[in-house]
Amino acid sequence: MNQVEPSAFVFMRVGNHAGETFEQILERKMQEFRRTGRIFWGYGGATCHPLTRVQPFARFHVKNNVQVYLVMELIDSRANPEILPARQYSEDGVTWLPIPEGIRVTGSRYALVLDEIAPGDLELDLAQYAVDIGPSRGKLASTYLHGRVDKGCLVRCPAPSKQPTGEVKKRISYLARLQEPFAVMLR
Amino acid sequence: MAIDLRECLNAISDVVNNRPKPLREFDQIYMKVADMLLQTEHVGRCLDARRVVFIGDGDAIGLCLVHLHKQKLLESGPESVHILDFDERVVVSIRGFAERFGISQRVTAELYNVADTLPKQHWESFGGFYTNPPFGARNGGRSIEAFVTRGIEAVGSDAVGCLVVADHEDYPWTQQVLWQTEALLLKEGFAIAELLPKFHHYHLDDAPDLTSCSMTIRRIRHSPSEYRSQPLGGEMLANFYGEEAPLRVRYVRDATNGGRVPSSDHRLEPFHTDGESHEPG
Repeated sequence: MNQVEPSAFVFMRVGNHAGETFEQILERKMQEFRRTGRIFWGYGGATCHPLTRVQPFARFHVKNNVQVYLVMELIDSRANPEILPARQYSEDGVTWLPIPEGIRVTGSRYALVLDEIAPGDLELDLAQYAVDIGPSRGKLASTYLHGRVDKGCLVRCPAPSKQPTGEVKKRISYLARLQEPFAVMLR
Repeated sequence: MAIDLRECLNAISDVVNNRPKPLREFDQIYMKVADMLLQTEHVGRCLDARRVVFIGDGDAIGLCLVHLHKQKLLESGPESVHILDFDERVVVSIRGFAERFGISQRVTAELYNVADTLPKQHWESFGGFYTNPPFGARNGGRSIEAFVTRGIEAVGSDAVGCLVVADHEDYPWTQQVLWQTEALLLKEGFAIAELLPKFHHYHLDDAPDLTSCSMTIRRIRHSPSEYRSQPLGGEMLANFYGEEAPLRVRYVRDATNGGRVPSSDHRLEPFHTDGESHEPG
């Protein structure tokens, strides 16, 4: 895994979820990758919708030869939604297919589609990144990611920020590259 | 005319209570309720006594206009509204409401996607149009162009239009989109008669402070013409919701038959009388 700071990425806070520790989730996801060649990384919320945010964001950058990553900040999360495994997924909300054999994703409405997850040791200053898609496009990530907004599609600012904001450093523990179709809906 | 705030808000509440849940995959994001009342009062005057076509209306401003006017809560209101929307849930909910409140002579709704040609019977047949289209944050306002074009096609000479366009100085893309929308309207022979800046707020998780303006336009130049509506072109379809965000769905279909089929978004857990404690799962 390239440890150079990615220039386009989905930022997400991760931790224990749906009765599993983060280490258990990670191990299960690595097995998933070994068996199927991809990982479905479940998530929720409205700020990174697969169809209106993640897919167009990733398609645009991949078309311009920029790899898009998921960068994960490990937090002390105890999210404990009902553990209902998804049975179907959809790339477009129209056609629904069975969850592929060997993949299990629980308690989530959406999933990122990932390559192998690799440990990372990066320190990102969110004041140097901006929201790339949606109504908050152009807003600094350091001001965007607060309160209930805990994930976003971000790009490195073309020039150092002139907006009044201090450094907001985040330790990135794990990274994974997004692969086609980048994100899917689940049910 | 002074308005009765309680009665007006309760009438708006009737409408809000009737709307289907917004679908984020199509940027259906609802306007906040107080702003709906202000918008209804404002556009009621602009569209007074006109036959009006709505190009999309998830907010249900069309219903608000007629519902409040019928109850004499507002002095001005359109003669009739006809709502075109690609979401069958919206169409069915409007028809059901209009029937229940006795306004189905003045409010009608039809399933239609702006990607398709305007139905021939609507060509230059209305006195006004209203649209609150997807904001076009990442396609330079092209999605607005699609909705506005259908509105312009549907109105005749001496027409007015009401548009809702994103507008907030902290979001630089909104000013670019506003400028491009105004340029399109001027090119199409409309004058911008009025603009109320930063007039509405939305239920938007990651941009709660984003606002939109209420723009009123008046047709200045027009030569009636034969029907010549065209479907949207390939490039427009490919970037309909933003760059690399294509239009993939023609219609959202209502799976509840207007609310007659039971909802599947909840289940019932029995109350036990055996004395056992049953903790919520």
